[in-house]
Amino acid sequence: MAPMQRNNYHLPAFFLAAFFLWPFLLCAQGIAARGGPKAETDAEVWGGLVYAIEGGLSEGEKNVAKGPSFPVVSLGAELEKDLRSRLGRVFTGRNFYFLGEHTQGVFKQYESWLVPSKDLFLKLDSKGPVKGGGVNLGLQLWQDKEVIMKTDVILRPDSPLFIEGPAWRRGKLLFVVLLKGE
Amino acid sequence: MTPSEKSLLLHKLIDGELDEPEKVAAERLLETDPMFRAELESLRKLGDEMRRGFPADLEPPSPDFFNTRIRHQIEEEQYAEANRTNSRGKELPEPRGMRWFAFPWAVAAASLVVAVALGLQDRDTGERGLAWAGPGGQTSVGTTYTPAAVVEADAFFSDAAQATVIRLTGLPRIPSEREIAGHSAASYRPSHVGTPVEIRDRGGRISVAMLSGVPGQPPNFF
Repeated sequence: MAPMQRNNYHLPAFFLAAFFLWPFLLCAQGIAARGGPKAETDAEVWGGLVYAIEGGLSEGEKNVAKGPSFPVVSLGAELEKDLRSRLGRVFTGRNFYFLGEHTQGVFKQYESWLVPSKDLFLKLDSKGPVKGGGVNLGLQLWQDKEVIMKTDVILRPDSPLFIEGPAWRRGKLLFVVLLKGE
Repeated sequence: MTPSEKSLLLHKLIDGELDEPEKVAAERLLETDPMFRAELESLRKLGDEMRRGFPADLEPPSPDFFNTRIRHQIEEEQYAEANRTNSRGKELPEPRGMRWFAFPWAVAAASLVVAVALGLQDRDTGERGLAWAGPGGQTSVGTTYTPAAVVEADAFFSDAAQATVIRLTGLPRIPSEREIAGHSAASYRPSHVGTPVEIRDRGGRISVAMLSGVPGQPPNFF
């Protein structure tokens, strides 16, 4: 039986391929380690889901510490104070509980999602920054598996957008969108 | 005689291009073939109507018809030009409002400036097409659309709150027994195609994994 002929051409070809491929492999590894491709953003927005009820909490809605029995999130003191004040001027006589919040960069080339809750969330499509500060966005408000509203918005700094959404329990769910400053 | 031969004979007869043998054949057909006779009558009537449709001082349509029209147009312009000059051959001034049109390059340049200005304005502000746009510092809302016919959206600006409000009415109430759960989430990065994005809380723990990718389709949460 004749000994197996070894093809010596394969070895240099392998090293040649490795030489050209290793930068790509390093890049891929770097991207994977950082959790996703780098994406440029046009702006950073904050989204909050608010439960607005008339009057105070009922006994059934209070926990032992007399706070709400449902989970709430805490915002920064300044932001929370400002939003409570503004919300109170539109939705008078209500108390506001922040159920969720999400700060998100608005990608230039990808859709972005503002998801303070899986129950009510917002899809953002950037149309670019606008003159005088701000960003032009296509918005879609989703409730579970349904789009409930679509609109175009020019979001300006220090000028929040309040979306009055569906009724829930004794009150309403509000979605707040705010353009974050530089 | 075949129908196509009859047709050819008929058209030559109308155009007066029959030679002697064809004339004999045509006359025979006129005597013996009522269909041939009727067709000839019909074509002659059509010819009469066409002649009535065109003024006597214009040549009938022909390959040269449009050239004739152009020649007439040039003659009319030359006539008008001659009337603009006085008896000493000096050109009379055109009406003031029409002077612009004597300089087509000026009209073209002005149009270009306007077009560029409009284009730049559109690109800079991105505000074109908005149904309602607030002053410079206010968030403004464009056209709103609600897929459900029973849902209405009303947008307004609250001076008291210095906030823009979209009020949705007609949405179905969320059942009270349903828990609405939220979280405090930090910005995520886009994921690779087909893999979910991980929305993490401020401590870095995954709050929600979300898979989206088909436009118009709802995202899936895990």
